[in-house]
Amino acid sequence: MRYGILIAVLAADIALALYSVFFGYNPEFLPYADPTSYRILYIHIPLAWNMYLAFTITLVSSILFLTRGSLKYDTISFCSTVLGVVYGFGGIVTGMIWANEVWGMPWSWDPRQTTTLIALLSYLGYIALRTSITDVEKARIISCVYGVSAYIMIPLSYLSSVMFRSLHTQLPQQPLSPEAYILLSLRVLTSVVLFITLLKIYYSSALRRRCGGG
Amino acid sequence: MEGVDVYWGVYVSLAVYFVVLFIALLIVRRGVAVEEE
Repeated sequence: MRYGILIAVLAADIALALYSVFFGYNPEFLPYADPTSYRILYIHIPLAWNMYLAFTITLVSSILFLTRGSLKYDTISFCSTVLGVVYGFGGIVTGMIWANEVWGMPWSWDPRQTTTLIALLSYLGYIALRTSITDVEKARIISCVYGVSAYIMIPLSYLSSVMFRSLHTQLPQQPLSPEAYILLSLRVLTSVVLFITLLKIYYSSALRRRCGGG
Repeated sequence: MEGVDVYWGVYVSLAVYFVVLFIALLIVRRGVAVEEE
């Protein structure tokens, strides 16, 4: 049943991604750039926001594990981090492709790029730390403390384009056209539902393994 | 609203998105890197 839901959500997400790339709204004119490069928005934003969501889930579940000690919160924390890192690298790569067109170079050590890269490396550290400690109980506690600490990079990454001089657009200050807003909202919605579905399946299988239930 | 003459990076971004989904599905399916008790 859950795989049926996964396939349905995956199909909807892929169909919407294809539609947005081939027929999505783009402005008539972009200074110094191909206006159609604007359509990267419909790919880049869902990836980036899912990364933020994943690491926020890591934070909340790490706190819940440290306060309540339930194994399920620790499992959610680990699974969310792994998926968040995958989505995050996708967000960085698509951002680089877009930056190559609109900023003139793929990587310019822009505050948003730099802080997001540091955040991703921090969460890669979480995975490395967790898998390198042989004492399972100790690994859980240390990695959850690390998961809480590493979250400082997420608001810093999100606010970096406001706090520092940045080339990155600041969505609240640059309102989208209604066409772009509707399509982007749908893209974010389907990709978030897909992410949550993936996380639930991953979490269930991981928890079964940890509890020795097959 | 045309489907032609789109900037090449848009297609590459779409390909990157599919790669991300593929890796995520692979991780979920295999349940990799989860420590055994």
